[in-house]
Amino acid sequence: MIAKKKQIQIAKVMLKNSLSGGLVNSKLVSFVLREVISQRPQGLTKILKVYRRLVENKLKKEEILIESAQKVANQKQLEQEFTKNTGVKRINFKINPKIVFGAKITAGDWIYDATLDAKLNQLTKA
Amino acid sequence: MSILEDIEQQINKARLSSTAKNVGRIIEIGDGVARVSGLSDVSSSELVSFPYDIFGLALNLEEDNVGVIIFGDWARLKEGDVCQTTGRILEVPVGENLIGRVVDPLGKPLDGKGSVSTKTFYPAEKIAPGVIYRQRVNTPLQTGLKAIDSMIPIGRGQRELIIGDRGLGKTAICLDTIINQKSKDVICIYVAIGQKTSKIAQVVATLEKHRAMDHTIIVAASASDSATMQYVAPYAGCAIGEYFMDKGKDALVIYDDLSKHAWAYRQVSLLLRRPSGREAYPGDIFYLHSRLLERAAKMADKFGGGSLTALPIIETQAGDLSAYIPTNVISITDGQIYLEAELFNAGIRPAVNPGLSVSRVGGAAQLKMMKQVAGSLRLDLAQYRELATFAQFGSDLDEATLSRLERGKRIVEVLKQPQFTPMDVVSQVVIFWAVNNGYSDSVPVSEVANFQEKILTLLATNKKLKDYLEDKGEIDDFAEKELAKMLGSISGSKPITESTENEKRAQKVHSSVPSKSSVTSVIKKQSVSSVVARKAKSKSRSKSKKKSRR
Repeated sequence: MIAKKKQIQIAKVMLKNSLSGGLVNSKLVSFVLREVISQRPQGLTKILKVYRRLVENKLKKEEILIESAQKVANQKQLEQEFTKNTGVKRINFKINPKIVFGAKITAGDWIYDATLDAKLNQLTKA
Repeated sequence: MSILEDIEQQINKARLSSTAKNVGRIIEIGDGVARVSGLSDVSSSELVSFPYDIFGLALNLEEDNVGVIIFGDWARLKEGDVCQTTGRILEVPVGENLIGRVVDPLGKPLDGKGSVSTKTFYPAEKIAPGVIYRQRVNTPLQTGLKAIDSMIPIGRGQRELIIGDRGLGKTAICLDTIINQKSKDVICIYVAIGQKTSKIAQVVATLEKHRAMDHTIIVAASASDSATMQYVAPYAGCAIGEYFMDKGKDALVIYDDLSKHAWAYRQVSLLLRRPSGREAYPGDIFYLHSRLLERAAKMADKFGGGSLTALPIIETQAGDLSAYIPTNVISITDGQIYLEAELFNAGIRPAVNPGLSVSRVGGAAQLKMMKQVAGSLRLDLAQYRELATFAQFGSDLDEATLSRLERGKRIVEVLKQPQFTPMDVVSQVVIFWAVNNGYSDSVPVSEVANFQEKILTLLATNKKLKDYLEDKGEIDDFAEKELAKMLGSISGSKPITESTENEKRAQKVHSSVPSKSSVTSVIKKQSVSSVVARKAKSKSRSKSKKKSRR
């Protein structure tokens, strides 16, 4: 059984090989996975688990999720603005009925909240 | 104003804007420590907010995750839970309202006396005041214990370690000190770290019984609390003390005890997977205690003139002073009070070993009258201890040695003191003056306690002398005459003359040995005779060996 530190190290090397131009490449990911599975290193499941988490975190940083109560009218314009300013690859729009008014933007581990809920929270704390 | 107008005004007042949160997700959690992914913007020692109003402290910032120690019920949290940064560091509520209360390290009340309303918060971790903010220790902090106030004086702003095995009266010394601060304008903070809850309850009951809770705050992180709480407790206690110091008041903080604090930090560090060193403690264990104790200070007058005195306690294992944590804390503090099991078992309580105990800065803060009477006490006691062991081997002792031994026995008796009966400084001085001047020499050793009582009763009636000593702070000719007059009525045998017993004894010594003192001469004689005897023996042995070879 190889140490946890070594597993993390392997997973990090796998992630490094899955990137092209600093972004996660799906073809490279499947290639890396095939290679690793064929070699069957010790603690494979744990390595894959760590790899999954690393890829997930990386993907989160590459995409922006915009949640709103209704469909956004100027989606195209917004997409262009976000891509220009942040350099992200994907921008997802989601209709969340829980948001009565306003919008919530999730970019990596940052959440920009301009929903009614957040504002009411501010009012109660003020 | 109508209700609607009021609401409208409130809404106008509130600045509503979109919020930006830096969030993370729990990867794993256990034993009060969580690993969190995300939180890319978190700072070291920043508070992290978890669901259910639980908070944590970010301690380990690693490449792809953050190690967070959690305050409160971590068992409610699970993998995948979202947490967020708060932009705040750990703060504890401080203020006058805490006096008389028992609180946990985060300031939540534990005594069932309702919530504590404080408006001021102090950071738990703070850089100690620099050199220009301080002044030298110059005011004594009376413990009320004769053995300590005379031989190991503590000054306000000093850090004096109390060290010894378990059950030797370390906490008792601290409680006596707290009780003695009654009506002396010193706020006491007792920090219980990793102690049994029953013991904490006992401490509270003792302080309440002696009405010492009126100037005391208890910060409790018991053995049932998480290691995180135990780790933070002394810093919280220190922050509370600093508040009073900043207000220009005098505060005393007792850390009971730092051995358990080191254990708690070791646990947290190992769970955070920090590299371990000697005895599995992390590399920064010295800094853990030095940054805490360095916060004790006597502030310069232009910065308020307040003080924070620290009395850390260390529990040794089988009297081992050379273990890792004891040596660390000994080197950090300005002296130590060493309690010894042998003395305790011999009935000498407080079981202070005057040989190993020292106060590096307290001497400067000692009152002049105490210096006058206690100057030779420590030396006399040390000589007595040496002579006592020496006297075990022979019965033929000269008169001077015998009188020194007898005096020593009485000094030991005088230094004994029952628990929770601290003594004011004037009474202590009068008792020591009586002993130094031979008033107790004619009193049987078993009667020394009664003799002390008599002195105290007489002193209580002699208000003029008491007030004079209190005001003057030294023993001058007038005070000496008054003392001699007062004490002459107890012993009867002692005439009121200028020559004291000390002088008589010195005369005797001089007449018997013209050059050196009796003790050294006896030891020298003994050593010379033993050397001569040994040489003679070795000569005879070598001769007999030569003979046998022939």
